Amino acid sequence: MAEPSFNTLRSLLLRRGVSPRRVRRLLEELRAHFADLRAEQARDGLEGLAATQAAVLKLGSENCLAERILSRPELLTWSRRWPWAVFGVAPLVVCFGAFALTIAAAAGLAHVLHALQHSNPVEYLDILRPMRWVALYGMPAVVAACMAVLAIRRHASFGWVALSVGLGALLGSMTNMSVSLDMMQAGIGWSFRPSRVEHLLVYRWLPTVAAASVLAGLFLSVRRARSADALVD
Amino acid sequence: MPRSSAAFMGGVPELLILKLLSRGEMYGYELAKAVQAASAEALSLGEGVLYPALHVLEAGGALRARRRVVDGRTRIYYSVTDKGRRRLAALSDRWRRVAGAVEAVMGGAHG
Repeated sequence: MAEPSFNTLRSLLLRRGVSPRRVRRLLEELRAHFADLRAEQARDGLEGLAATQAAVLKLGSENCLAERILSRPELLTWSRRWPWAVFGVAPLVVCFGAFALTIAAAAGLAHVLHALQHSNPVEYLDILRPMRWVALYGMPAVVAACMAVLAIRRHASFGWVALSVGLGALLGSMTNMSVSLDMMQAGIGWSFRPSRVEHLLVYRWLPTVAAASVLAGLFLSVRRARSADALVD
Repeated sequence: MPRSSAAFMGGVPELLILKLLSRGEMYGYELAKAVQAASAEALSLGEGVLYPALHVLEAGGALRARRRVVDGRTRIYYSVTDKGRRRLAALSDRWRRVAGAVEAVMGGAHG
């Protein structure tokens, strides 16, 4: 009987919704515990393989350990306990929050420029346009990508991945922000007015989903490469 | 009452852990041995009960964990927080009531 690798336990815990950080901690503690059990057996007179075998028997099977750990719902991640909240509600709240923050930032900037008596509307527009672009196109894609990465890392079902990416992208697609300069007054407006469905799908939703997928793929590839490097080192 | 008593019996590992850790910080294996020693080998917390309970108590703010290197080995030591002490007091009180009730029933049955 060989020393346990805990690979089965690790895989079971991750697949069933325990966070990677908690799994790492649990495995670290169980490895240390196993080493102590083996040392205890050695002190009791067992040698080498016999001590290892006795320690393995005392520790119990990895399946049994996994079952006991998974019986505590408090140890499961939010995304496993309340997936509808994490993958359904959170992307909408984050996207709304990003739009609201952009408007607040634009208003705050106007106030500061006015206070500094530097309220040149044209310069103000030069700052507002990239802010609008980030809020309207960048943020929904980033939010959708983050949700996709979270769903994949938490081993969520494909349905939750699709829902989170689709919702984030949909809200981003249906939102409009306009930056205007009228009568030397600059302003930014926010409306939730969907354009034609085919226009929305082709020019907003699909590019956002594609951008989110690329971002998520890139992030996961970089992470995987770093993990491989760490293993080599 | 019967349902809450049943739920309480599931909280016995937490009670033992909090009580022993209130005397001083310990790591998992040390704690498992302490339970055995304190109960004269009558009680034993298996690893499948001990570590989930420690993590749940820590997540709930009743325990604090920190890494310490002792004799060249990194260990995760647990200690009780103020919240943990309050929880220990509540659990101890409930335990005394349940134990008293069981004792009364057993005494009545034999007497």
